Amino acid sequence: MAIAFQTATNGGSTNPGTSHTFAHTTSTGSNRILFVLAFGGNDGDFLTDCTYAGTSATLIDKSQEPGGGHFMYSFYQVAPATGANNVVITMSASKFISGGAHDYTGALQTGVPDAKIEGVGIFTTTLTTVADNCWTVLHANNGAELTAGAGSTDRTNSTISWEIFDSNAVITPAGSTSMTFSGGTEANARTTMFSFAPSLGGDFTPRVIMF
Amino acid sequence: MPKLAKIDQVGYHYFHVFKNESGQIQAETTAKDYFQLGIATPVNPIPPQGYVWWYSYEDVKFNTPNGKLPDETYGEVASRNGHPSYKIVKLTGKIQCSVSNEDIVANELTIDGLAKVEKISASQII
Repeated sequence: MAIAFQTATNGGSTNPGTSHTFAHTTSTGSNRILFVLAFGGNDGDFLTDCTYAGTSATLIDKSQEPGGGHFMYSFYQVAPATGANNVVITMSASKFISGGAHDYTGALQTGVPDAKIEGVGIFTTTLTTVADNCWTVLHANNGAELTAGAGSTDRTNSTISWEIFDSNAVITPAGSTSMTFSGGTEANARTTMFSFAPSLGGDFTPRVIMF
Repeated sequence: MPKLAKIDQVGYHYFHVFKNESGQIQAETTAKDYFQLGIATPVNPIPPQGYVWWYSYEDVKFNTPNGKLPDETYGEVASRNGHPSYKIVKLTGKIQCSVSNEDIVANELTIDGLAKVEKISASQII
């Protein structure tokens, strides 16, 4: 079953706050997966939980801005609740909090992510995918409004300093692939790039075979 | 360093933020209403005419008319959910921001604390 993009949400920002809540409507398709980019903390790692529809999401990666600034977190949740539910990002202190979410259908429900890598000081991040027909995601931060470059489709058009990009296409065959963005000073750029694989069989419909 | 006046924390407060093409407005809500947003099938805020709901948030509430710290004040935030206590400070011309307990001694911001406040204020990105 092929991966298909559904929706993306720019969840805005709170400054300061101890938790931040925004809506994201997840599709009703099969083999769903939700990703969340959470951002903030000012000067440290203060995030304590990221939930969707009351269920904690799983951390893929976290990294801090050069010079000890905000943290950027990438989370996922397989088979998220469908319909209009909310993302809640909670911190242990009153801090800048921001985030966005994006969801897909047709994704493998295990082994997430397929592969991942962090990029620091570069506009182009290169990842080696493992499974055939993966999509790639780039969560990027650079202290400026960011725009898509080669291999990247902008999903949130955020005016904050982070952005959610994806490949908007399968990576086949599996192997080295790159995503590029621009905005701000390249030396300060920070990314998390990861891939996720397609589901193996799609919807299972049992059939009775008569001999 | 000038002396800071201490303000007591009185809990937390909760807000819905609505937006339209010309800007944002916010409305205070209750803890019960805010926390039900985080469960499955929530009842989301009903926006005023011409607005859409964008997000909601929780923050520390101090014993002031709007719950926020006035300039040249600080407050201690009690330990919560197993996380340590900390302090929040508001300096003139800077944003209200969190610092460690040891960054304010005898009602004065330390040199390290001032550096944190200036760094956080300079890095705001809205």
